[in-house]
Amino acid sequence: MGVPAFFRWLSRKYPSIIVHCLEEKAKEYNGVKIPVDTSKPNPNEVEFDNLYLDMNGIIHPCTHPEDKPAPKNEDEMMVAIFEYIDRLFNIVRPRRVLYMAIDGVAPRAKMNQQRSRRFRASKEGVELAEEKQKMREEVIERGGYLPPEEIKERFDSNCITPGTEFMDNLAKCLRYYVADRLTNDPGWRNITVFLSDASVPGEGEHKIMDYIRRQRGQPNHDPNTHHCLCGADADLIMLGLATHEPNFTIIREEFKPNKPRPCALCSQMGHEIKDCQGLPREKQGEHDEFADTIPVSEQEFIFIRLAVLREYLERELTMASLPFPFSFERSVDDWVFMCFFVGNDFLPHLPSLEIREGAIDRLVGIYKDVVHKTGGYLTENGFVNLERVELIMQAVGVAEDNIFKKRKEDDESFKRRMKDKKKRMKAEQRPSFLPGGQFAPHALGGRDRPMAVQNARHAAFEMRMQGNQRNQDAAQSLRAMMRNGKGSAESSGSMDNRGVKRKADDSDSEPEPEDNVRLWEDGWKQRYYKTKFDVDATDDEFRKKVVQSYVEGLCWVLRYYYQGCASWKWYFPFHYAPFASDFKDIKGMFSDFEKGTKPFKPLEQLMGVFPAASGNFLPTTWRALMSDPESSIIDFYPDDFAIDLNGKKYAWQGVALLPFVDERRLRAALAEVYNDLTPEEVRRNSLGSDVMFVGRSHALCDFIQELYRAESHTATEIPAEFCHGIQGILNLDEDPILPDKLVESPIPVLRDISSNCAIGIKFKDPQYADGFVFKAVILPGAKIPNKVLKPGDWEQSNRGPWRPQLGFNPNRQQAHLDQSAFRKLNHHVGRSDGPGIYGSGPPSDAHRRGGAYSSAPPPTNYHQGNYRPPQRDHYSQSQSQYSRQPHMNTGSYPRFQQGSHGWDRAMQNQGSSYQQNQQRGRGDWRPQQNQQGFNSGRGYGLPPASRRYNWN
Amino acid sequence: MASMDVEEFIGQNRQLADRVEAFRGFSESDKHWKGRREFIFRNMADFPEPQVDHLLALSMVWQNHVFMGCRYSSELLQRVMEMAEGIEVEDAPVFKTRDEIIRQQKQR
Repeated sequence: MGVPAFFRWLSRKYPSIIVHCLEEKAKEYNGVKIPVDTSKPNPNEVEFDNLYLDMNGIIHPCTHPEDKPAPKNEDEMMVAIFEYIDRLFNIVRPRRVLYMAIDGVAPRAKMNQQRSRRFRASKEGVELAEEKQKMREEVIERGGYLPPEEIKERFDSNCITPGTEFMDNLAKCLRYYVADRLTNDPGWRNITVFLSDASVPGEGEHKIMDYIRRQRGQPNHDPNTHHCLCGADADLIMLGLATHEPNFTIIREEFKPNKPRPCALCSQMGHEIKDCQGLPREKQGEHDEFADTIPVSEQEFIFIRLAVLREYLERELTMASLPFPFSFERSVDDWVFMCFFVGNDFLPHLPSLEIREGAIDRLVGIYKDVVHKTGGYLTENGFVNLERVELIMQAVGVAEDNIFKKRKEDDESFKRRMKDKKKRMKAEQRPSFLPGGQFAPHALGGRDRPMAVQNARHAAFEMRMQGNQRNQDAAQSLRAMMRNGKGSAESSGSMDNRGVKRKADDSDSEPEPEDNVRLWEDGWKQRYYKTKFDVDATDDEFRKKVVQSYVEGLCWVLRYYYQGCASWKWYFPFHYAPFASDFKDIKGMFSDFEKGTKPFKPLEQLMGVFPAASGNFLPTTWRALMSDPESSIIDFYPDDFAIDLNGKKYAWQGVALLPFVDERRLRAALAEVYNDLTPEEVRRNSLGSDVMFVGRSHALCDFIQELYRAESHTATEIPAEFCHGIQGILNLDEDPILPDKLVESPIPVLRDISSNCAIGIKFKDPQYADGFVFKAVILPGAKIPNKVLKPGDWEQSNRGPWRPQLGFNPNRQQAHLDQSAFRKLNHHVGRSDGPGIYGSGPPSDAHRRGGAYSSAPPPTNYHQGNYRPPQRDHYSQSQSQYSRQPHMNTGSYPRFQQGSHGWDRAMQNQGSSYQQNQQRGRGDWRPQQNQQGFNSGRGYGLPPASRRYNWN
Repeated sequence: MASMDVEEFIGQNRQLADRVEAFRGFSESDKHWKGRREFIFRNMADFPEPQVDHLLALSMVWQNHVFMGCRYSSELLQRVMEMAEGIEVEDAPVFKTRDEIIRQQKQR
């Protein structure tokens, strides 16, 4: 689900699911870079079989990054994508399968969200270009210097959509990349590579799930496959749980708050576009030789272990004395289902369920109460039992009024505290310069998911971070004055401007979002339906339509996660959700979806999600339909649209009120212009096939080569014994990559592959009969990994107390240790001066939309606690999480790295774990409790940093 | 035409009215559909059969503008407003675009 708050919530409640990735760096000798040999054992001490890449999460940061200047051209973007994949491959080292899935055409249900993002991105792109031009003129007038503006078209991130030339080029580049790595990289020698490019319909992560489901349904599937899925969406956690594969891990970038971003005008760090002075760039090194290096540390990756999440869930969801047999696997499916109420990409979330208010915990609590009466589980294999769901919804509905009132009270409390804090801060002595306010422009194409971020927390962290920036900004200002010293009048003017800005920033009046609904006051239901839907609450027929559509949506979403796309055509036709209490008599509201629906063709989808301003990606006569007043679909393409803040503070958090596409009219209009497609456009508009690649030493290579030699055009099944039990259907590729045949490089700076060792062939997942149901079960023969969490009865086992050490200095500089240093560290595991704990997660950045998370501020006071060295003989021997390697240790051991944040992230993980232990016995856990001081009533000792001990 | 005339018109042209009713979207409320239906009836004579989709598009432009706050080119809006002349909308909702929201927040 596209809800960043969800991952934040999950990782704080279940902290041990996170392991920081250990990444072996390439070494350099005499200026020559020696690539890492990924055929060697994995330094993370786990061997993965399969690595799946949700490619769109890679394409965006490589084409329009937020934390560094953008690549100059498309070729540089492609190289950046290659390097990114190389990094992931280096960390994960898959031994069997690399599956690369690019988003193809999405189901209609997703298109509303895509429309919203693309319409917004287009407007913001235009605004950014205008702002850059205006600031550029101002800077030049003031005598500043800017690098000459490159005459290049603004990169429109809307081109990252199936059907565009960019995506077509990307597919070609990735085929080259795969051929090169299979030929030249020993780590790739024995793996099977699948490329599902943008011409294959389906969202990337769901194409991956389709592959896994269909392999699992085969008798030859290895039930102990170790999967690793790369992607940043919290969706992937749900999808991984839904597979019921016991060994499933996610890898994603670790979010770092407040990363510096280059100025969009001069590409220098340290300021934003509106503060640009046109200062000369300072030399990096004696001869400016470090000019191109990135001053911030490279992005780090983390693993999310779903096996550990399952352990947590098993503790939470296990219920005794049910009137029917308890099944943990079924309860996991119900938990996944309930998370959809809080947020997903296809349905607006229910107004009374906000993840930041502990909605999931509330739902789980209600679920445990109600399930005794439902007579069974809510879901089975992705199909919903609506009668039982209604009982859950009614229970939520009973609490709705209180939920809204409490939300208001909490908001008021936050505002009062922030106001008091602001007053105190104003009284303090402050430097004369303050950074820009909350309306600073944001880079185009940031991770553009809407963010459910809490205002008060943002304000708190924004003020805290300002302090960190003051010294740097003061120094910058001083240098500016010195360099412009000859123009003292200009300096004076500049200071006056800062004065004006300071007044604006000092204003106590925050923008107060208008809220005509006022959910906390009686009559909220009437006002909601009037304001959001323009109907009276007495219009039962209309409300029933909204509820029915939402019920259909719940069925669609769950089936999408467990069985695949049930309807390419269905979508939720409203901008807002109903209330939980409106879900009455829903049993008969849904029977089944229309059969035989098909995805849009790529160019058809472009017409469905693009604003007219992005029409340049479409043929001329198609594009005209977006702007010609005579067009029969002109209403789909407003020039501008309303934003409903919906109780939020900022425009980007609001709901974009865009019209829904009428599919019938769209197809009728396109029928008139289909003949205008060029042969190239016809090809890009076609739906394609997955492609499979292997290297020469792979067992399948000879088999495939024989198919090409025989020109066998009939579909051929993969022999299971050649490929670890992987099955599928092969067809010859029209333009294949073949061994010993030259592979031309589509990128001029990269060499052609003259001694190609790779072979490619079209691939189709195993096929199943219509109506086949994939079972959401643990397969026979699967081994459940060993436990990682501390046993729940630790306190009763007389193994000594846990005593966390507090008061860790978050700004302490840390040195980077290599492998030998870790070995030395392990030798001193008994020392009592180990690193402390950083007590809270990283703060979020109010100005960033992509990837920002809300976060509780750290506790205002830490309890120091007494540290007592633990007794070594009380620790059990380690248990391997990965049963196929019983003698290898798993879990992370501490790493010390230099960076802008001195705290130890590995220990942060452990520290959160202690907080979790503290909270466990208190009934329902809520994130807000973290805002209180850390409760050290029961002491815990910090175990030694040992690879042999698995942190819980 | 007043709404009474529309009702009378519907009564006299049942077959035509049924055909127009088929244009109603699932998610259209009675209020929104009533206005758009009147828009369609008022202008049907000018849009023979092959151009019905164009009429539907213009009726949606009107509805999107009045009830959802969408903005279109002035040329298009002017035409649509002329076609809608005489349609009365009670209690029309009020909307803000993103630029308006940001400008308003900055002014405080």
